[in-house]
Amino acid sequence: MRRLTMLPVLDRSGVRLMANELRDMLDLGGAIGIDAGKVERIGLAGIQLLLSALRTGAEGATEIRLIAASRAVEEAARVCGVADRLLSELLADAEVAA
Amino acid sequence: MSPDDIQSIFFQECEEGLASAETALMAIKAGEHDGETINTIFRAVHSIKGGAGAFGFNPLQAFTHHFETLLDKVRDGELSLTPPLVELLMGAFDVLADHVTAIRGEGDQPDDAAMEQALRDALTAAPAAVPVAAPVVPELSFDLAAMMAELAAPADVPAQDWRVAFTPAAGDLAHGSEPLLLMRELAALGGQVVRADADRVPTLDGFDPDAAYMGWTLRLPAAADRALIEEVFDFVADPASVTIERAAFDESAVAVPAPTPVLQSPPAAPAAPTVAEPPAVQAPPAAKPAKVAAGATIRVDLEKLDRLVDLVGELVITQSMLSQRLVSNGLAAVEELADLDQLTRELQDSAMAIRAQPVKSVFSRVPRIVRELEASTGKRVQIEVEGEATELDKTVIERIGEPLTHLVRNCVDHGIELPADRLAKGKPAEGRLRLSAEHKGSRIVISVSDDGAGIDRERVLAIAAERGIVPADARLSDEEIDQLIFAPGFSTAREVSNISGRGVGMDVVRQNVQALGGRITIQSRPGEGSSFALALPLTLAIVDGMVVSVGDQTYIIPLTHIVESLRPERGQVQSTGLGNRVLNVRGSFLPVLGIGDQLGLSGTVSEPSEGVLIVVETESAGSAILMVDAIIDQRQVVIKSLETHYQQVEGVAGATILGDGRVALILDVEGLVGLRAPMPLRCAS
Repeated sequence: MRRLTMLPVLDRSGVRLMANELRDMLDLGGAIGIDAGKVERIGLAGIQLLLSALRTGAEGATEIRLIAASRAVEEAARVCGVADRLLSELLADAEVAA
Repeated sequence: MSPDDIQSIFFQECEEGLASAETALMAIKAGEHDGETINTIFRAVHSIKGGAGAFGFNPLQAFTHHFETLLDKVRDGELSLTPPLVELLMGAFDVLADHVTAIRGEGDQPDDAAMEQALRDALTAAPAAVPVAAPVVPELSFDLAAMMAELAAPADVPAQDWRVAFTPAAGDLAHGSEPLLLMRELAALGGQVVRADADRVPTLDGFDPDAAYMGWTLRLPAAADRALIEEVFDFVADPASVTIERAAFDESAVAVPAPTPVLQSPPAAPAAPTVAEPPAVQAPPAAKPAKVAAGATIRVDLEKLDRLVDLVGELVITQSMLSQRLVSNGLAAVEELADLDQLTRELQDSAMAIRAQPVKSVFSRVPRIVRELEASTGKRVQIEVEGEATELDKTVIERIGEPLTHLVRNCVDHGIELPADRLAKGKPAEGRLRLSAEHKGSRIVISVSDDGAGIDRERVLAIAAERGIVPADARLSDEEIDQLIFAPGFSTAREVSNISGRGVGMDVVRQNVQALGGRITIQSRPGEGSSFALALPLTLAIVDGMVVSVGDQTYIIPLTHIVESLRPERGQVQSTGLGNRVLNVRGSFLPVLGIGDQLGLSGTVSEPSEGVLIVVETESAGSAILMVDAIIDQRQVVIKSLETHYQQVEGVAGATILGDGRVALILDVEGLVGLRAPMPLRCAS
């Protein structure tokens, strides 16, 4: 699994960079793990990028998973009402690990 | 907004509704039977009924229901406005007004059983085939339903929570907006996302970092302040992207969030068309909560207004002090000083104008009083009103109600004759009662006049002599005889009635008017009628006064009392032998009262020819002369209550702060003169 570590600041310019990185990785093929564990600041654009990435994985041949999420990401996901969609696999993994 | 606030607004709306209904009823009585006039009454009654129901004033609601039903029949043309029906409507209006008074805690609940029955009886007079009345459209001028919904709901009827739908415009992110911040603010208000719509988030190939794809539906607790919710969206460019409304929620909706459409929905369209799609959760325009109509008026707490007036008063004093300081330093010609003075005066006038109210609110009580008097006396009275839009200070308005009521009762009870007597005198059977208000200088003059019999001066004088109010051989002018009706205990009524004639009313009238800094005068012509004129100050906050010095003190004498000022020649002022001094002023010997003597001051001028004599007029004690050391100035001063800051002082009406910072007492001329001179002495010649 290729791993993409998100920038600490996922503002629009950060999101633009990360979106391009993800597209490049998609072109390379293979599963992608998104590490959002170091994200310190995230806006709606960042949340939408994560949702877009998961949707791309769900609808395409490439597996794309969120493998880590910082507190900032968790909080933003909760506020946006998409915590279940973004973090459910993380929670499931955590339960399995426990 | 608390329940008390809303109830207070309801009471105000009731008063306004009653006033407009009464005006319409008077128009109907005068022959205007058009649909809009009837509608005006119907709307007022309907509004009161709605509010009464909302607040649980059940007797009021029940009565308005009967009243409204009858009005509806009149409105639909099923009942015609015959004179008896008009009388019934007026009677019903009076009962309605009593109900409103009762719910305000200012009177007993009226016994409305007979009136209710009369309303029902009138209904049965309508044709049997009664068409279904048109749906009633609430006409409350305030959104009572919305305000009630904001109140904490009873336990058994939970209030609906807020449903907030928010879909940022596609370009919001590109413009620097961050919807997540708004979502956090909503969360801080207790908001929970009921539905997060991410259907439009595309896959990575169509993803635009600058586009907002999401939309939300949130649930906020019922207790949340709508204004605060709206504040969250203050800077949202497109108001259509937000809807806020009360709504019932499925209790499981928040606990179990919506399914995850991201992983299950079909592929999204390419970015551009997707962005152009209408938001999925956006409510149709009709569902948008109505914005409060931008009104031309706002309600302001009276305390806030009074605070403003006080502050402006302080500003005037400070400006005056500054002006005096600059003048004393040779800077009198500074142009900016003149501008500041002008602006301060304008500011003061504007602040005073805020407290001003039309006198209509007092005049509107008169028709009912007259109706009651007509019923009890058998007299017929036509009311004429002029200048009801004239404005004066709210406090003055509130305090003239009682004096005005008594004057009206007096005019009808004592002045206007019975129809038969009037016809015998060649007058119309219906008497005329005229109310008017107009500005005259810095005062407002309210007149109550009638075309009745006029004051029977012979009888007045005889009764005054009989009761020891004046000596039996008193020689009084017509004006002085007229003034006797204001004497305590005086009454010409042959029998004590519940209308007037207890001999206390006119005395109280004068006291009340004087307490307001006003004066009352009478003009009466036998057989033609009487006219009472109340000259009242526009405001109780400022007074035009003459600044005088007495010893080392400075006093203000209100200009309203001053007739003239003079410096007599030595010997012109004569002693009466009892230490009292008098001066012959154009045929009348007027008592000369030294202000210094009256107020116990030392070092004052004692020889009249060395001081200044100020001739003053009073209501209670006629004319007199106040002796002061010198006249300093004439100016408008801001009145400060002595009672508030110290205590009531006999002969002193209040205080003010002069430009040099010193406190000057405002003299109570009525009080000072009344203590010493009960009646002017008339010159024998």
